[in-house]
Amino acid sequence: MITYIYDSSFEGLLTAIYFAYKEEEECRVVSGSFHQLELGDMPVYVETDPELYSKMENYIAGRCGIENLMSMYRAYLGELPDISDAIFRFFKVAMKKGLEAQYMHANPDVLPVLNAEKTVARESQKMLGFIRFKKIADDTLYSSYQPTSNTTPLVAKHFSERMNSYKWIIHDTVRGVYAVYNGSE
Amino acid sequence: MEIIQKLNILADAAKYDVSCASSGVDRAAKKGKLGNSVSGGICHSFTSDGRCISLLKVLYTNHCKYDCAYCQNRRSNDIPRATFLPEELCELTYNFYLRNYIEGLFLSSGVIKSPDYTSELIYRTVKMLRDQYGFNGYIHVKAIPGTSRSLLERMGRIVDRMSVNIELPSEDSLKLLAPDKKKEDLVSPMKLIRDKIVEREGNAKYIRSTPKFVPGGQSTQMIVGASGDTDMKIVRLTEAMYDKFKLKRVYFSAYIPINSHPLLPAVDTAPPMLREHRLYQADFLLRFYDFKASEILNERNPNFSRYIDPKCQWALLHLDKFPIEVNKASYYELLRVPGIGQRSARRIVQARKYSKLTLEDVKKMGAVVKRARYFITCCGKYDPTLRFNETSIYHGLLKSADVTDNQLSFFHTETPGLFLKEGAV
Repeated sequence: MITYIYDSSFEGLLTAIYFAYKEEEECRVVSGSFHQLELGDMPVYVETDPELYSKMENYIAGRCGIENLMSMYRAYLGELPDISDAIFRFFKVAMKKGLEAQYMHANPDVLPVLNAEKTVARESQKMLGFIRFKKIADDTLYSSYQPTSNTTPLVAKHFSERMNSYKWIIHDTVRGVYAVYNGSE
Repeated sequence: MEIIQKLNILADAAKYDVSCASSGVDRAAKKGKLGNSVSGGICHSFTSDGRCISLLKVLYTNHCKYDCAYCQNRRSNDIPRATFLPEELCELTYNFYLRNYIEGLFLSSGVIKSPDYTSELIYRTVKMLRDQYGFNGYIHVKAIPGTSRSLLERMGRIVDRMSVNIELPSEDSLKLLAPDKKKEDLVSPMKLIRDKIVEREGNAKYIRSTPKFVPGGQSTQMIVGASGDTDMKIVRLTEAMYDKFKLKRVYFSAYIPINSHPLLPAVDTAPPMLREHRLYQADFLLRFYDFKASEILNERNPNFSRYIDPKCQWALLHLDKFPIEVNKASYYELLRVPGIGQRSARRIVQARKYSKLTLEDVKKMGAVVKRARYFITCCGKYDPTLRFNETSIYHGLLKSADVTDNQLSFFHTETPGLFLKEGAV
């Protein structure tokens, strides 16, 4: 089977989905960081294209609804091994059904994404409460935490509103991901 | 005295206040200010029994001129006393909030000198926190009974939630146990807050910039088990609170015996946790299930059962309304079935458009089938393993009961009896 492999970024994922969707033969999408090639795989390495990504983003938001795009993004942050292909299959349903895809809990192509999204949303909600900051300088706060999913982007948005007059760093020590806020962004 | 010692004393003194919700208000962050408020609420920690903690809950002072029998901070108790300075309290709140330990402040107080004097102190603190510290998070204050109207009005504009403790479920028990507090003093601030909220809503329709007044609404709490009031009385009072005063929540707190007093339970009695639990269950029936207080309990059965929850109790007394057919019953009929909640009722109503539902399907919708199966039919069929009569249902429910702290022991000799039916002697 044709296998599209991307660089494990969300930009890369949407780029890969773009090519996979155009592909006429049966194909799947996997992330470079998880995947081991199987027998009979025909790997295609996708180079992340920022321009294509923003096109895709706008397209999905317009055609399938911003909710579906968010579902895909949150599910992606869960970093489950098979999620990339599940997101691709979800995307195909969303292209046909539009916003309705959100509610099709019984559809086997939809459910994995909705479940993964729920896990991530729950964890990030929990982290909003459980993150603790330390003062490392007069106006700078630091926090390190170890989430199961990559919740940092979701958590950072909340704190950028709440603590907009401070500089802060949220450090995910599992992934080595930082969110840094310098007082304005 | 060190600020940390004060915090110890005053946080400990506040633990008998039960409300700790931070939800119900959505306030966007402001540039240059600290904080916002999220409508869903955020929990920052959990107690050992699973309750969520989201606010810094303290008293301004635990000095008190009153001598209420049930209270730890009453005048005649010999305990360490402390009082915050406004700056200290602001500093604490701000720094805890900054480090994301709390979602906001819950401020109550003992009464020193006069209600107005105490309220003025609280008002100054909150004002300082909002203006000088630029704190934009959640604030809940207790309105002190007997405070003047103008002060309450000013307070209402800068806090998110206000509450007046009704303390005890009846005027008589109030007279006995809290002789310094009058019912009128408790009720009038509630009325004022309600009227102001209604007034604001009216104005806001025409003037968009009408300042907010207690956007989180008001709540109250009462002590359960300190006086001889029946559950029925409490539930009726609760209903009246929701109807008359438009309260957001009524909280119950199981009385923890701390003082010995001839009129109170002895100091070694366990707090009536199960009763508190049952009252909250009834509270939810009132708020979300469209029940009336008079349906939940009546003169013949003025108290809740130890063994089954209020909804089962109601259903057993109204077996003539059951079993109902899940594929036909209205949403409100479904809501009345024990084991079916708002969410599962909604799902059932949605899903049965497409196909007839079986008991298995009802289970998938999230209903608690071990309770619901006694009261429903699916496609006209009643669960063939069960018999539809009062005694067998009751015993079936008992077997699956979620008896929380009084597990039926194997050697339990007293068989829980059925309650009196209406009309029975």
